[in-house]
Amino acid sequence: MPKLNRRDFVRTTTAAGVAAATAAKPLFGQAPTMMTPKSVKPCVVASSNGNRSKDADGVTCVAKAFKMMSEGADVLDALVAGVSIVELDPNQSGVGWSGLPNADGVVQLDASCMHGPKKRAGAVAAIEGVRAPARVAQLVAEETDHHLLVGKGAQDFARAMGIKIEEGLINENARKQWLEWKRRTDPLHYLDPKKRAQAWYDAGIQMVREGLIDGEHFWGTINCDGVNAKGEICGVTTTSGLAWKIAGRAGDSPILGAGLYVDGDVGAAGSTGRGEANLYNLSSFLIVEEMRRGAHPKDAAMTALTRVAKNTIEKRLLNAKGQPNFGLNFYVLNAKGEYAGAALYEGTYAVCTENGPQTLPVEPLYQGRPTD
Amino acid sequence: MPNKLNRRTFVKTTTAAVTAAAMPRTVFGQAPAVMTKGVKPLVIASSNGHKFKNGGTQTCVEKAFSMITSGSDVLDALIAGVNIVELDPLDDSVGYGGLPNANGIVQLDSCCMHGPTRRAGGVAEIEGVRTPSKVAQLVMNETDHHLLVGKGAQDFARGMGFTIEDDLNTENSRKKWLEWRRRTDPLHYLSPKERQSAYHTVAMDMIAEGWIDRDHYYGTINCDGINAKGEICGVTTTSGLSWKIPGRAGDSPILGAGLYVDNEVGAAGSTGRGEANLFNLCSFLIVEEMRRGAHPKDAALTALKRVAKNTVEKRLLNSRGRPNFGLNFYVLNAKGEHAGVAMYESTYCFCNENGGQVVKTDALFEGQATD
Repeated sequence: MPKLNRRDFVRTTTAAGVAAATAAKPLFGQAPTMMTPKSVKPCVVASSNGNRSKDADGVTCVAKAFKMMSEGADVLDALVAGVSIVELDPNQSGVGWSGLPNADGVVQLDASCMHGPKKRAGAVAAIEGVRAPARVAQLVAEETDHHLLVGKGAQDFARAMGIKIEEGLINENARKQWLEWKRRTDPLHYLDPKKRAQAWYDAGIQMVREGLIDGEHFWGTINCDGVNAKGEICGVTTTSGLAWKIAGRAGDSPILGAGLYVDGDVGAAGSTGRGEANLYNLSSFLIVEEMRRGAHPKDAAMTALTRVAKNTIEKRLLNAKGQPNFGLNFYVLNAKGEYAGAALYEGTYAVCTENGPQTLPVEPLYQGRPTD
Repeated sequence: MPNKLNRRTFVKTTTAAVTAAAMPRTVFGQAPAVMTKGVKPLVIASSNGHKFKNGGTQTCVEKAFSMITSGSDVLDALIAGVNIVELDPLDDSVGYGGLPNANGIVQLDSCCMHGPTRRAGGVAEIEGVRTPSKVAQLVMNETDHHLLVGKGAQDFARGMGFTIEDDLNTENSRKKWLEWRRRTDPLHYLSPKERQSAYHTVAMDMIAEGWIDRDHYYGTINCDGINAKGEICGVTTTSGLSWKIPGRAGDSPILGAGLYVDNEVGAAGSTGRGEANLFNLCSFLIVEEMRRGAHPKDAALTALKRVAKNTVEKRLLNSRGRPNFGLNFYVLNAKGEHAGVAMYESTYCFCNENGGQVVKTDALFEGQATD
């Protein structure tokens, strides 16, 4: 892989805009059934960690994906390569192998991906022993007749596909944080699972307040979506899931329509934040459906956030103002290359266009913070 | 434990319940947010919901309907209904005795949604528990999550007091698996793609030769119900695709794919090729269409058309260029209107005050999936 400085980056990008119109080459086995004919402004959008973690060359996820797309790579190949930078980064703890483990101290990862033009999709849930689950999700899309493999079966599949399985895969920092959490919760030995879940959650939030864990990493995830100049749209979401989740808990990341949805004719939407809210409301799918009926990415995301707020009626999930007491972010782009980052509360997201990578504020549904 | 109920008391209870329904009783901890009044109670399910009795006197839809009209929580009633099918070894597509995965292990999927309380739970690839729908309900009631998978789901069930059994195969499911194994194992394909296609071909041959009931290859039960107060719930439970890759989860445990419920709108659930629902979120799409005013039948046809549009791979198309698989939807709305709609003509069942019956579905396409 050649190194790329800022100047090369811009040059490649401009050249690719011209080249893309002529050199259309089918990159994914069989030819796409449908192509948006006009020239679309290529774009990659992601959660804000997509413009934070860097590879050995100092390139972030969105920059890497954008560069590969501009050079003609398949959009999904580019996105999976991009998010792998975040998955492999040992200094962040919400995605990939260095993510915070489950209640038993075991790292279990979730990921999904969708290939718009090919209408193929794959996902893995609660997979152990691999560092970068997004690639496994892509292999489920490419190599099986299925969309979702879970647990041990997902790991066996990854092994058969040549991915290295590592026993006891855990980041030293994550292990220390888990030990601290265990120390705070274990002496209680609750018998009632409801109370135990609540105590687990409270201890986690307390550790966030004390600065022991980055708040963004408690539900940390990366979603990354892209469209190239040919209008080909793909998306990928990957995570280690909720910190100290019940073993086996799957969030929204491996579920098509929840943590990610792509329709090659319409656009892509993905999410980070409280996964249960998306599992219940199928937010990513809802956003794509709203865009299908003509909504702008931002308005479509607002519709989904409003729906989540409406369906959040349990007291334990509401703050003093009666609003959801959790964070939820959406990253959305449409087939025209328009994009938006929207969230229940203020936050940031990452985007990369021909102007280079940027971290931008999201459009919030509510002012203030979830804990208000 | 509910009392036994013969046909006569069944009808009597039903009539009484319609009157009694005016006096609402909070069954599920917190009060429902919205109440639709004066709805005719109804239970709808895939056709196995009015076929299996597990040695008892009632089918799934009869059981669920009688419980609903005698005041039971709608979801409790539906789950008691599908438990009959899960426990009946004669249905080898659901629960105990379901056809196992490629390694001969029975792995079950289920999810459920409670409309009025907006709660939901699911389990995927759980082993050793005969009634995964009950575990799904406990995920809903006892955790902050919607989905537990694999070993974690089993550990959770054990913690909730379920007996974990070593093997959920019956003589029937084991024999059929052995025959399939005999036919596929000598091939030793290296490419997972070729192996997949061989699995599929062998299975189709076995269906053609009468080894397996076509309905049971992708067999599942979905069951949805509404009571007189307009409270809507749904449940879906299955052993999944016969001889699936270990770990393969279909649509049944996934909210929005194999089941969706919105108490103000209605419920939709599905049986058939799970991948089509995982990709198209059909149950959610149907509920969204009904939210915008569509009748259950039209909403389901919209979803079937979407599936047909998104089915572009040759291996999934028949000689007419249509999907080569079956897909059925069972839909009811908040007014108690319902529909059974499928890609190709099939059957479904429902139960109202006139008792349970199996009827034909509407179909998107004429002919058969294999045409």
